[in-house]
Amino acid sequence: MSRTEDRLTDALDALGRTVADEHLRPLSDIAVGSSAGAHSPWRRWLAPAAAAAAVVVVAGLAVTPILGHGSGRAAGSGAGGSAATPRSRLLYDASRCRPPVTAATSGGPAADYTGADREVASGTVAGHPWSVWVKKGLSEPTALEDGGLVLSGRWYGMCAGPPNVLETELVDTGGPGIAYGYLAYPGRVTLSMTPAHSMRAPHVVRLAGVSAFIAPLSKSACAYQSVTVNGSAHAGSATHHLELGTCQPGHDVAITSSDGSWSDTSPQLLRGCSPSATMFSSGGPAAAHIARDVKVAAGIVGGQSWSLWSQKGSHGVDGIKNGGLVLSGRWYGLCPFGLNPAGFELVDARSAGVVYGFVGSPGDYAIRLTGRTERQHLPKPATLRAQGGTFFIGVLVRSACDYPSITMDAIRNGQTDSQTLNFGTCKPGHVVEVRTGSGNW
Amino acid sequence: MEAVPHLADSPGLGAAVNSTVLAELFRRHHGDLVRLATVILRNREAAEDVVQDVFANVQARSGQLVRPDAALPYLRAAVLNRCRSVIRRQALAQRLGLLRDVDFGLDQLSAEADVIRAEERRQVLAALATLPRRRREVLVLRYYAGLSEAEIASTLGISQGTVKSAAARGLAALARKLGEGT
Repeated sequence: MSRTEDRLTDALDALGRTVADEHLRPLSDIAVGSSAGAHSPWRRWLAPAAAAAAVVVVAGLAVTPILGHGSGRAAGSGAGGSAATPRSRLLYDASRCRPPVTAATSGGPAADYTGADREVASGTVAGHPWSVWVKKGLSEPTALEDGGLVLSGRWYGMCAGPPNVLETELVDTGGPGIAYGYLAYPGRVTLSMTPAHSMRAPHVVRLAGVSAFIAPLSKSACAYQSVTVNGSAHAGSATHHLELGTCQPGHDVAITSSDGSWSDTSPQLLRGCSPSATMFSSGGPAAAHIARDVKVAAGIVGGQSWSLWSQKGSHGVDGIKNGGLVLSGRWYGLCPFGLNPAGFELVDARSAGVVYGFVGSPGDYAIRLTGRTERQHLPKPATLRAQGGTFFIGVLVRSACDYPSITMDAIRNGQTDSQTLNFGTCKPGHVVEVRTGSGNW
Repeated sequence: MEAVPHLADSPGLGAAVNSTVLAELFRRHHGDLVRLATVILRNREAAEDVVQDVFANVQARSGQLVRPDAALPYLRAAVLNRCRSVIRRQALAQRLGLLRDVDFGLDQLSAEADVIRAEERRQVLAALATLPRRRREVLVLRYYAGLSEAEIASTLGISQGTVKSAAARGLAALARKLGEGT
């Protein structure tokens, strides 16, 4: 054997030895909790293959039915659901509401819902006793989203807000109506409603990073065809516009469409993430995360391998939200869209920057990215339907550190929802710090 | 035109395989296939993705797979084929200026294994990476996987004569790049 052959054999062997069997992906772990049957050794061995195949399956599945408009209430809940033209664009899957929140299901006996909840505040509004409940064992804002309001012994859900920073519902009490909801910004809250003078002094329940509110209306909830609620706190402000449908005493008024906008003045987008998704917590070893997750997609971007992971035991968008992205063996969270219907992050990668994100709404979305400084569209990212949403990933033209601001447009059926993030510090191998942001839903 | 392996085209494939056989194939060959892909791609993560995709494909077509002795060459060929796709995407990204460091995998591996830090080995691998695809694959299959000329020919879908000439020319080119004679 010649010297060249010797050197080649030696180099290739050395390279091959860097891949030890025990360091390969925990294949058996991936099977646990996945859809692959745990009883079949075939499926257990082939769990990673099944997970990869799921990419195709996910992409080929029918779109999750569009259940509601904006606030997450089922379309047609109440009689007014189908009449109005939907204004909401980034729709959310109401099925993830726990308990469900629709006009029809609202107003049930409180005892049916409060067993797993904890009361955090109570009072009286317009002669009606009320109490706010949060789900035990969860942190805010999820605990409030999964909790609700008890008004005169009846239950009214809070869940409808996950895509919205500000969430509002109106209750038909048979007399003057009650508005309730929450603003997912910490600190002192200021609320107002249009039409003017329609909402009187609200009761505000401040929790960790989120405030619930209950307010009497000047007229019956059935008297309003639409309302707009403005909420602000030191960390940001939001507006929620509702088109209202039919009403029924003792129930939420049906919402036929809703949309809104938000503006963060501090990186509140990251609150409630589990696992956390910050610049400092990103970019760590992936092993600990993927051991509790299921791989749902994989590919190559900018020469770097990526894989998308969903938390075991979580379903749909929640799984992705609580899962994350592995990029060249490093872990990056996907949580920031938790309070928004869509979100994205930049990674200061080894070569060009990488952008990734998720639209947590059903339907086929095209993603357009625009850098403020260049006023041009960035390369179109690859998109993938995954667990009821749209995941996207792409390379930037330049380093991620070179973008002080990027606007993401999620486009579907000719409608565009925008989200602009303003970035701060960047650190190699980590997501770029998000300082402020604004957008609409 | 590249030879794209299909289960139905592979000798010995075409009948049904039971789950135990495929599970056993996975257990026995997964690591070796990842190592082969790593040698080609010099990126373990990408290599694992490639092999995973191959097994996913096999699983989807499991009704066509039969003999373990015929399955391994198929799996090896499929891995090489997917590696080509990865390399093509890397090359495209590099041409578009989206990938500044085409040798990304080497750094990653360097951190994981001291042996790769040796400059001599790095030079050999870098020189190998510059060879035309077929010559590179022939050399890897010959000097890493230890396949015979006949096995290489079968895996790559080329003649033994082509294997022989590709190996000779590849070695000669490698020697020139490394500043030595063959």
